[in-house]
Amino acid sequence: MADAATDLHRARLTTAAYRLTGCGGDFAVFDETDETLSEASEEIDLVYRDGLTAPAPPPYPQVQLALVEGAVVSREDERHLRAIRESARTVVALGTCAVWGGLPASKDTWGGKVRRAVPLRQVVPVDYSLPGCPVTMPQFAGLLTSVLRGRPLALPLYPVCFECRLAENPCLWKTAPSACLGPVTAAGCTANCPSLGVPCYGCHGPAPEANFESYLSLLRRKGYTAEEAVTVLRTFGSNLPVRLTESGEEGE
Amino acid sequence: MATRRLTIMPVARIHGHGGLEVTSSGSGATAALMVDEIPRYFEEILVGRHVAEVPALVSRLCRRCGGGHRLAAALALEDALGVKVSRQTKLLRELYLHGLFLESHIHHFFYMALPDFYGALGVAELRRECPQEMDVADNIIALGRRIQRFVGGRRVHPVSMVVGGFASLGTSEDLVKIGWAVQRHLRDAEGLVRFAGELRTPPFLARPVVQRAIRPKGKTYGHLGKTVVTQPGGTAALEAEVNTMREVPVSYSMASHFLAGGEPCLVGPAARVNLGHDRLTTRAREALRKAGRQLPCTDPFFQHVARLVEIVFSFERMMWVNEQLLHEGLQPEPGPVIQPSGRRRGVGAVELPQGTCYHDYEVDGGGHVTRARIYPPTAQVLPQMERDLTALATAMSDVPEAELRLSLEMLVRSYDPCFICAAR
Repeated sequence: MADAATDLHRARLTTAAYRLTGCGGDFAVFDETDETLSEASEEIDLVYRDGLTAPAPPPYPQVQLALVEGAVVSREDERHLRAIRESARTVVALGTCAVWGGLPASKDTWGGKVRRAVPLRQVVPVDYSLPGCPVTMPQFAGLLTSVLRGRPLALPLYPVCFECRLAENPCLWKTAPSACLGPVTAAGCTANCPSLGVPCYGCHGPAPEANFESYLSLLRRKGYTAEEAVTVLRTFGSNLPVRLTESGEEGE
Repeated sequence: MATRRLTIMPVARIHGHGGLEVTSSGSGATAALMVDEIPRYFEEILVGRHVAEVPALVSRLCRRCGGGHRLAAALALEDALGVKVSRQTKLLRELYLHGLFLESHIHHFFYMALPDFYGALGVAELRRECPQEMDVADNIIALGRRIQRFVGGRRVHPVSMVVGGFASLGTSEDLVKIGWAVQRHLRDAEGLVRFAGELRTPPFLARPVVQRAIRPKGKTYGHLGKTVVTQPGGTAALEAEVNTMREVPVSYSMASHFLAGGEPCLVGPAARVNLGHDRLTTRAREALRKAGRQLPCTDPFFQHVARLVEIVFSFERMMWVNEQLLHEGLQPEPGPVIQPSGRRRGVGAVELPQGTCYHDYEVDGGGHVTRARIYPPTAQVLPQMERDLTALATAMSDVPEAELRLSLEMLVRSYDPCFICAAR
């Protein structure tokens, strides 16, 4: 990472964008013409982008930065990810599937078979993680800046509720027909969904400062069974920092 | 003639990972399309979910047409719950789909398909070869994204479209600006049809084909409706149509094939234009006429022309939708009322850029999904694509391999397949 910083003075950061199992939505950040981003992306030389550049690897281009989105679901994903790790100096888990497992990790059993979708860091060391479904432009620009400077990425520790209050939105907890995950979800989206009148689905993954025990009891009071509560909490990944003992399931 | 096996894995510039294999011998050729996306089992993820959560979850199927899936799910759940939506909701949903088509069709044609016609150059070279068209394309793509952002709240995985209507609305000021932009780019869009019509495509043998598309209510062309027309065949209600659909797993591909009535069929832009050209708006019909194709045109490469004709239609239609919305004034939508009444089934469908997409749900008395089925368009069209690849490989059996490879890839791209949705 320190090398990436010195390279800044020589050439643009060679970058490859890979997708494992996921929708590809996080790479949509490249399509936007956003001023904040375009200044940061001046520093980037995108040598490979999944689906758009031919031919696809192998061979994997040797790059300074690999942006990887999607969860690791298959053996092929795992092999692909290991090869990416070897070809890149810095690996970024981009988007909630890569950081938390995302929607594919919301259940473990499929038609009676056990199949786990896991985040990148359970397979290889990851240098940066940026959640979001999809990741937001300002946070992506912030990520690029951190990578270019070889600095750690600072993400909010507080939950979406904090940003929602700043936006002066009416609270959706009582009025929405489904549960709002704002109290336990990492902020960084500027309360995008609640600001549009839709409860938070938890797409940025768990907030480090969230109180899950208290949130579970809130859900129970709203009429959710233990099983339903777990389903809701697992929407965007399985690695919850809480022991969900009521249903016999355990998180990290 | 010796057996020749040709594998292209992966095929670049399509949505999702996958490839094709063609085996030809003296007795003919066979083709297989291998979808190499891992299923995310959306239908299982949805079981047990409250109906209000479903649209947000299904939008994660796809980065491009997630909003279309979101809308199909909302329509299906409204059908199951007996929810009626306002005229404004219908207009805004239509506007959203036009925005989605603008981005998807134009991005696909210029960034995925067009490099083939110029010797597989990169986008930078394309800009030198046809700078004017690329500029027009970028403007239309940007407008499409702006419309999706206006209606959906954000572009990728939109937020505002919910069961029963809209949770929030954009401003009239943005709507006015969109109206101006639509007016400004209509003529540019007409020029693109001419441009696409003049491209030299690989040879194709005329073949009989079953075509299917949604038939909108009334006399208009469009992307929403409650009946489906099949030719040869007839019309059917959405629920009857999905009841005839069989899912056939294939050993070599991660995506099953969907067959209605046992026959491969064509869905998507060419099927829609062939079945509904007499319903197109004036200038779209005129652009189609000038492209000089005999209708119905079953050449798969006609799909490129059909896509751009659909863009002209979207522009004309958006002018009308925009006018209606502005004339009536944007009214706040009441919050969606969800009152489940016993176990009910609901089916909804929208025309996505790739073809008809059906969502089919069963909801219990508590408002939770007990069964979910998603019929992505690419999964319906895969058997027809394989049939066409076979025909093309047979017709081109004596050309050099490099030319055959390019033609096969071009054929795959003419369908604009989405392997991510197909594996679902």
